[in-house]
Amino acid sequence: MRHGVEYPLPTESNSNHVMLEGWEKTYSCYFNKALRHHIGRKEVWERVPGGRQTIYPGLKCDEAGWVDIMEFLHHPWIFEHEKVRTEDDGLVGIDFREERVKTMIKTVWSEFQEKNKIRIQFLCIVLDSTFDKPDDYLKNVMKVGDDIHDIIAKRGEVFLAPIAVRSPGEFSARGNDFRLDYGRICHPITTRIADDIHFCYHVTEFENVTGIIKEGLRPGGHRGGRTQVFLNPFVPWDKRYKDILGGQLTHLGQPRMVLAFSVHRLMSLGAIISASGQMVVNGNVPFSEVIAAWYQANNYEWERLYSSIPASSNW
Amino acid sequence: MTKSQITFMETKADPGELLAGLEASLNIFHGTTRSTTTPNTKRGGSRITEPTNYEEAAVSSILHDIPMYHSLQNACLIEDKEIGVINDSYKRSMEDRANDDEMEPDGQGTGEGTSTTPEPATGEAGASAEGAGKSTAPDMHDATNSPSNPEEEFQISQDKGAIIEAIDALFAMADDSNVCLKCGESGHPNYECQAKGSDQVKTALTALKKKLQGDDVEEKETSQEKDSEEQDRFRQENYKATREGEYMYLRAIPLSVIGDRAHGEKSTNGVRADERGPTTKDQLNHIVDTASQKGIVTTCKEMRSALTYSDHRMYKKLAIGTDIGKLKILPVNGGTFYSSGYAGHETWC
Repeated sequence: MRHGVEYPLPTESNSNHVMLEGWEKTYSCYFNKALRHHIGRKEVWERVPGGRQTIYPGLKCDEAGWVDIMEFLHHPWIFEHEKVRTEDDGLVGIDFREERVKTMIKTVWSEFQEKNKIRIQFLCIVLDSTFDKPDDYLKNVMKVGDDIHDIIAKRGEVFLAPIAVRSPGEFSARGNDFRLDYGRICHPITTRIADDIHFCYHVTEFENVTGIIKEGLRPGGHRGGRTQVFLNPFVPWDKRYKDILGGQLTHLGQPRMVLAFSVHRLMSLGAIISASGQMVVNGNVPFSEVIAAWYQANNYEWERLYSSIPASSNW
Repeated sequence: MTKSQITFMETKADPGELLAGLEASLNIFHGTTRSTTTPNTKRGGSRITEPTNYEEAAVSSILHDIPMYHSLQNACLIEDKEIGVINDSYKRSMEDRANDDEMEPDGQGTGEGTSTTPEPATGEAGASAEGAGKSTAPDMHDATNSPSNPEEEFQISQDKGAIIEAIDALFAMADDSNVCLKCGESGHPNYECQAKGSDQVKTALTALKKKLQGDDVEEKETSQEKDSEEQDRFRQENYKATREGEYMYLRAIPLSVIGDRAHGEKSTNGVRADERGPTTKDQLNHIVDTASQKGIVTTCKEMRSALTYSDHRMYKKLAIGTDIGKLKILPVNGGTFYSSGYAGHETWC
């Protein structure tokens, strides 16, 4: 059990904060981009000086967004095109693959500590007390030996190896692109969870108000391209919006609007919660679910909307 | 040059008033207007009287007998101030006429000047042509067509505006009612009509609307037939905008629906927006962890659950060589692995 890397959790006396070096931050950015925007695509391309395009294969995944870890560790867009580390350029040896996994784990932990965002998840094969004896795959590929029972007895469960990676965040998809099944990515919301969160909010540009009244909150807004609506548990003026959720203020410099929803009522629409704490609803959220709204002209103070909602609404 | 008095028939009189009085007498005597027989060359600073019959000749002889008559032919009978006023009026009149000429579209002009008649060869014919040209001057034209009563003019303008609004309302109502004015069928608005050919109703009503908006529109419309399709598209967009714009009327929202205002501007149903929900990062994580324990996603209870994923053109099912054990997501702070080949199994290549 000397393989892999496990960072100590923060204690009262020591935050055990993990800092990333420059190239690790660069890797973190590329990991995130690849797992969010390259999955489900046959190929991706990058412009290079001279007006040419370099085409790389995309990343295949299942409905839950899981990508085979070996395919990801050999994604040429990251390890060949970007050339973050010259000594780790296109090599496929086991040592380099292990190094890449360690870098990924480090970036995940650091991003989580700093921004409370989970960028990458690792899906692992786990053996627990129900394990009896290995089959050929566990014996030959995972190298499961006789000592596994002692370790299981001591720890309760053993992580054999990661087999897939994914990003639990939002994904980009257009037109007839693939669509992920968020029911296999997010978690169902119980009444207890709804009690804890109570309200959730959606920030959008005020010019969308007419469309929202007519059609409800559309996934991806007027541009479309998504199948889910994402809602935050905090309003933008709440400091928790940035401190806890790591949310970035959006639509700055133009009239904005915040729509409030009841988590309890959204449960009837099948709302689920993501690993980052966002509420996710498949399909449109009807305007009738809006329980409050605020308006902000440019960067002035937020004002409650009482009478400035257009008619023909479902209030 | 200033006015001077002359002695005529033992009476001192102003020569200008004297000539005007004689001319008026002649006009009454002949029952004809001066313009038909006497070209007004006032612009040149002189007045020429041309006799046409015996009586006029007799009067003219009397006039010629007037002392200093010939010297008066070149005399200016008006003061400098009056000359200035006349010059200003003349210049303004010519400018107006010039502008009207420029506004005429190509191919629709009345030729150089204001008359379509050929250039006159004789002086008398030339005088006639000049008179005709003046009669088509804008001010004269408007004076003959426009009502003299301002109230009547206002009433007509109001009526025109009402008709224009009615035409607009007709188009909007037809669109809202999904009645096509082009093909006459219901079920689709005008701008979604698939029928080929011109929209005669809309063309006629639009022409009428333009006509009411200005008398000179007809000529412009004739010259702009090439742009009619673009205008139709523009109007259709306006109709769509009108249809969307109808939702923008504001009304009050019942407070009972969206919460009590007395609880504050940033409250929802009496609860402040920033006082509910997890207060720390750990609390939020605890909520997510609780949700993940209730669900079947983060931890696949059985290996077989992963095998239910499809495997087709867009998706690739994970290749898992065993159905023993479970699938679980690694904690965010990482972990240690039992397998030495944890970074992908060695048989991958």
